[in-house]
Amino acid sequence: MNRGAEPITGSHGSRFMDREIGGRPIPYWATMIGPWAGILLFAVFMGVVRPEWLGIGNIRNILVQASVFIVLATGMTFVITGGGIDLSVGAMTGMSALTLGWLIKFTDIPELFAIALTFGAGLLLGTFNGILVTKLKLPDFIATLATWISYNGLVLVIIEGHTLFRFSPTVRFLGAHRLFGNLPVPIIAALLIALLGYFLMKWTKFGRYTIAIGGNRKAAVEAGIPVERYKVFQYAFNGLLAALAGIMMLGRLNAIHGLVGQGFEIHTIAAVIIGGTALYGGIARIGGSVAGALFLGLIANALTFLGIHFFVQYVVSGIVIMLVVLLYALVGYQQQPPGVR
Amino acid sequence: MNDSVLVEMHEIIKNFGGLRAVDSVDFSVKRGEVVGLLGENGAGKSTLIKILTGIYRPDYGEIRFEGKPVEIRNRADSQRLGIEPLYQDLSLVGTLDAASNVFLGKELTQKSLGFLPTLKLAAMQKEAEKILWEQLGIDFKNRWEPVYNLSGGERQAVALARAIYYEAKLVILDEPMASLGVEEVKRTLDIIRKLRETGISVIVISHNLEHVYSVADRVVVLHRGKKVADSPSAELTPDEVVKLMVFGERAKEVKAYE
Ligand SMILES: Nc1ncnc2c1ncn2[C@@H]1O[C@H](COP(=O)(O)OP(=O)(O)O)[C@@H](O)[C@H]1O
Ligand SMILES: [Mg+2]
Repeated sequence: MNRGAEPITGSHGSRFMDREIGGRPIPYWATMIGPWAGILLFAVFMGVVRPEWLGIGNIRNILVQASVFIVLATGMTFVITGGGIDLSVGAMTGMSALTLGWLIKFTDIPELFAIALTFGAGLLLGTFNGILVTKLKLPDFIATLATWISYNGLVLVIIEGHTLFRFSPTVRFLGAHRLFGNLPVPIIAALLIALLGYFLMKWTKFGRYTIAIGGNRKAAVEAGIPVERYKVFQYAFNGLLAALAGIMMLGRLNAIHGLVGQGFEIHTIAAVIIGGTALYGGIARIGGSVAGALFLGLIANALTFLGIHFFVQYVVSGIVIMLVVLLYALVGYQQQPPGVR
Repeated sequence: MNDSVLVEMHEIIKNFGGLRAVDSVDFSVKRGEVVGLLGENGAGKSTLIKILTGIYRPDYGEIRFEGKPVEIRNRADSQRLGIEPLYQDLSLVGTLDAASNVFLGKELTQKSLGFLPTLKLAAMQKEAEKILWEQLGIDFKNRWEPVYNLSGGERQAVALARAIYYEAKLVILDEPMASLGVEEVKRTLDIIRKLRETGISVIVISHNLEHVYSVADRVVVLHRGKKVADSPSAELTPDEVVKLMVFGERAKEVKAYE
């Protein structure tokens, strides 16, 4: 379809400008303020219904739980902005956590070295996704569906229904340690990763090309951008952050079993989409992804707090995601940018 | 210098299977010259210029660029020579703003903290606006707007600014005005004139004789792959051109252009 030369205007009169990252379809507030406003509204609602929910301990709890998803959503934002999708992210998280647990329990290598190797493993898993997508030219969805299942299976085969537990403070540092009195390291780590993601997206070729590839792959090719290489970078970066998430999970749980990371892919992708990143690529919202992860964390925590069963939480989360996407459509936010593609 | 030939195509033949799309055509463009390439649908216009941009390779014939014989095997070759086609879809990334598109693939970077290559956002913004304003006369109000929010003409200007930044010597516009409004067409024609002032040569393909005649220094007419006219636009009336386009006649009466 060639609509290139058609003059295209937004469906609304207001055209807001994006000074940050990539482009932004109308309207501005829906994508930037929206998720944060949702968080605020929800917090106020919960504060009224259950004032004790707003206690500092619980808020810290929410942030710690969300921190893993902030990390994952940051990586996923790059993949989705680049026009891809990574279904294997939860499995990579589990794989990384398992790698670390296994290295600690079954080898004598120094702990820090084991952590470094775990990052290496995540990088490798992610790079493999990227190679499937570029060199074998598999559709992103299919390639990562395959690795999702394979990585998950691998975890189950290796761990055989066992649980590895009790790790040293060094190993648990990123997932459970507290600094400056009572500030959990995972919260700091998540914040730093989100900032790093924002920086990369806005200030480096990596981010710029990611947007370009997702926004108009043909134009990116014609501009001489090595599209395949950057696609691999996106998946590799996502794998690296999945490793961090795995390390954080292991630290927090002080244990690793075959189910760590399961379902994370859905949660992560949902956080990114709620945040306003375009599902079809070309528009990045790192800040939105953070908000999306927080929002979903908030809901999950509130439901637990209200004593609602774990399984029902999935239903509620699903409905929330649907509502948010519907809301975007209603206010005219297009997940697929119009015009020059 | 100004009257020297920039690119010369000699006896170019291009076959698609049994179809001869371009039949022994001589075609040249001088520096700073605007050449209108005319012909009915299927006359071979796009094929001819795609040979220049390296998308097709000719079956026979020779190309000289700035006097030297060249082989244009692919787009990278043509880009190196300074040949910049402007496709109808403009090859822009809709979700990026004008400056990002102008510099796409050739971003200016600096070493931050001594090692980290980062984009020089402000410098690129400034440079892009300079090109748009000083060379194309586009007053850019929508500087931060993703380009899919710009009008067709503005987008064209962005694509041209890009060509200028790439140091184009020859810009090729294939049916650039096909789906633009009246105002937009005027702007595109203005931009073509601006390019000529900058010393950039332009090949413009269009069905609309009025548009072509308002900017072209010379018109070349193709008919079923053959060149049937090549003349300064002042020496060939639009009526004659129409006949040439449709019937391929009057070719003998028109002197070959040197
Ligand atoms: N890639 C191709 N394969 C086969 N035939 C082609 C191809 N491109 C163009 N042609 C044919 O060559 C002739 C010239 O086409 P083209 O150069 O596009 O004409 P114009 O641009 O003047 O309308 C037409 O008959 C067209 O069908
Ligand atoms: Mg054509």
